[in-house]
Amino acid sequence: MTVLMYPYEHPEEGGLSGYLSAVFEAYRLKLRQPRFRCLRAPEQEPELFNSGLTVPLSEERAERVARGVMRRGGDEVWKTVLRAFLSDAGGREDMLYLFIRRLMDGGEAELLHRLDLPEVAAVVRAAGRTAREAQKFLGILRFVKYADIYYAPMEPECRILPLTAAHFRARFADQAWIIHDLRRKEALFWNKRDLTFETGVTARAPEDEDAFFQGLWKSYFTAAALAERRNLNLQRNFVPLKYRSHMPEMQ
Amino acid sequence: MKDIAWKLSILGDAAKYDASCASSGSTGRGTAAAPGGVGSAAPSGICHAWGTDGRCISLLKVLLTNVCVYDCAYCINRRSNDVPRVSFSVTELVDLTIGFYRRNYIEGLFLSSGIAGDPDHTMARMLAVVKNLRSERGFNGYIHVKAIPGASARLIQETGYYADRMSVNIELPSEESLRILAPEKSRSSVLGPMALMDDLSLSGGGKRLPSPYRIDERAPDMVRDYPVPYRPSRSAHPFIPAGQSTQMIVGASPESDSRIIRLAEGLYRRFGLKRVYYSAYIPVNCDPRLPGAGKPPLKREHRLYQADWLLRFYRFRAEELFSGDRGNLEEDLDPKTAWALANYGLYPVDMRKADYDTLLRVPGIGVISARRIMDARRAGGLNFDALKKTGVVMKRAKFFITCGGRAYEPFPDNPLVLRNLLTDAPLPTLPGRSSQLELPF
Repeated sequence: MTVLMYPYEHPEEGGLSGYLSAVFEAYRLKLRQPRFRCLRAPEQEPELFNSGLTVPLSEERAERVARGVMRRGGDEVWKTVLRAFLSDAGGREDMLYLFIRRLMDGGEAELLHRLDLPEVAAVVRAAGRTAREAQKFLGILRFVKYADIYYAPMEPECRILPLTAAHFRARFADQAWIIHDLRRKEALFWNKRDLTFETGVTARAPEDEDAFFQGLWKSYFTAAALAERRNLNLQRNFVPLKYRSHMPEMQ
Repeated sequence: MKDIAWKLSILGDAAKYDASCASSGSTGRGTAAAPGGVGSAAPSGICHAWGTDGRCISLLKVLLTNVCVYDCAYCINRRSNDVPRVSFSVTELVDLTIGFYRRNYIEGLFLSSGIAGDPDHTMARMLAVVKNLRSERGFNGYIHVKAIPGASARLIQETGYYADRMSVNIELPSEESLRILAPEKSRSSVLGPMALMDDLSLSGGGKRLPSPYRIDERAPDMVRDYPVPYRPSRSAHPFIPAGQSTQMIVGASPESDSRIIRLAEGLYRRFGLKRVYYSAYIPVNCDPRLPGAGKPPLKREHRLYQADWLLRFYRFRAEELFSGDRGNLEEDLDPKTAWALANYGLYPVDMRKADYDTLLRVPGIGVISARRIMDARRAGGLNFDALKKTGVVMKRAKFFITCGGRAYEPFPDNPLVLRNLLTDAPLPTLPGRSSQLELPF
């Protein structure tokens, strides 16, 4: 079995081009079921057995695969591929490869609806996980006002930072902000003019700087709940414990 | 500034009995890459927090003031209650809203109010808040405003050009109950503003689906004598683009579920409401006109919401849910399953053949899974495995379906047997044949 090692480039899109370069290579080598590994993803342990084939980034090849996927599948399929790739599902690259092959081989008019095919079901499920988590974070992300900058730390399971950029950029265009994925040490910076994506970001802003508004928010949060309807299980279904550490009202 | 916290805890607490939380249905205002002002309205709405009661917090839901000249029996803010009375100033509330919004705590503002002085005075103050938010502060977030019963049409109308959604709460499901429990309100003071807002939405280019049938409501005496509409440049401000909603308290008065759901259906059809909220009655006052202390009827509220969903998304009509002389929904069974058991002859349904409407009436199949089933069928592959992946709740659906003629679970020939498989209720005695009955496990 061949292992293809692809580089982590273009973090603002989660490193997809590196992976697509490797997909191109797998096609070129006519590999049937290769394995894919990402090199240098910040959250990943260094590979112990570097026995794979290292594939360099090729913008041109990545572009060709992307165009192929879009031509065959359309926007919806492309979005699904991106989201599944950004998910935390184990073996997502391998599964996506099978999916892309199925797509390119053609014959399936509406591939996303073929939930009876295992690779389709797995890709659709992984993409849904990412999309749901990204949607959740549009709501539960909390900014701390620190000097003149609004700082939002988060620890999502999937790599959702690329999917939240457009929303927060439109919503908070007139304030400088940073959204920091602590697990992946990546951050988005908006200075009211440009959006930049940085990797290897370890510095953090203190989260208790904004005591006045956090206090107001907590007292509103407490006042808004109906004691007669207390239902902590329901609350936990909506806000799992893993998400609570950066939400001031949950402290 | 320190008494802001005090006001917020009182006026937030006083607004918590309103069940409405939606921030959906607006236009994509402010979603361009670099809009002017702050904020954007996501058409699908966003929930930001969930309280210890599990209810979502999307909007900063507060009263402008809890001073009130009315004396509604069920309300914490009624005139005769001895509670601290406070009011926000326009600037205080606007700063609070923007401060919360910029930290991503909320999706916008939900502004309600007690009736301080007269309705017009109250409505004018609420208008001042939303006007300031939109015009002075360039706020593009979501705004929901209560229409104050009895306020003049002109004020309600102008407010609606700044708000995304407005609502006026019907509160009690019959005029009789309204007269007893909320003597200062009347059917027409509630339905009047509703009709007005519906008219304004439609005249502003809004559309309503044609109604397949008429409601039997005694024609509400609608207010039609409002003055020439105020219209601040229509293109810049559509009138309540997210429509209107209302709320009914459940369990404070004797009306049946049937009465409530028929009324809700009437409101959807007649006034094009986007939502009717049902709020399980929580006693806050001691009053001989009200039921005494007890647990809020949460189960009943839940069943009413399920029935409401059947009306809005499953193409049910209210009368179908209350067959015979049944006045209330069943507690142990969701209304769709109850309907299925009452219409037993229509099942089992074949997943490879049934049309969309029929799929929607299968317990355990929702709007999304019904669409996925149609899609999967068109794409060419539907078996039980694929069916599970569409999101169908097999626990309920498995009895009611076949796939290409094959059953997943045997379909009991007696609905009472199936009822037992679907509830934990004790087995009812089957008329005449209870001794022969064998359960399939």
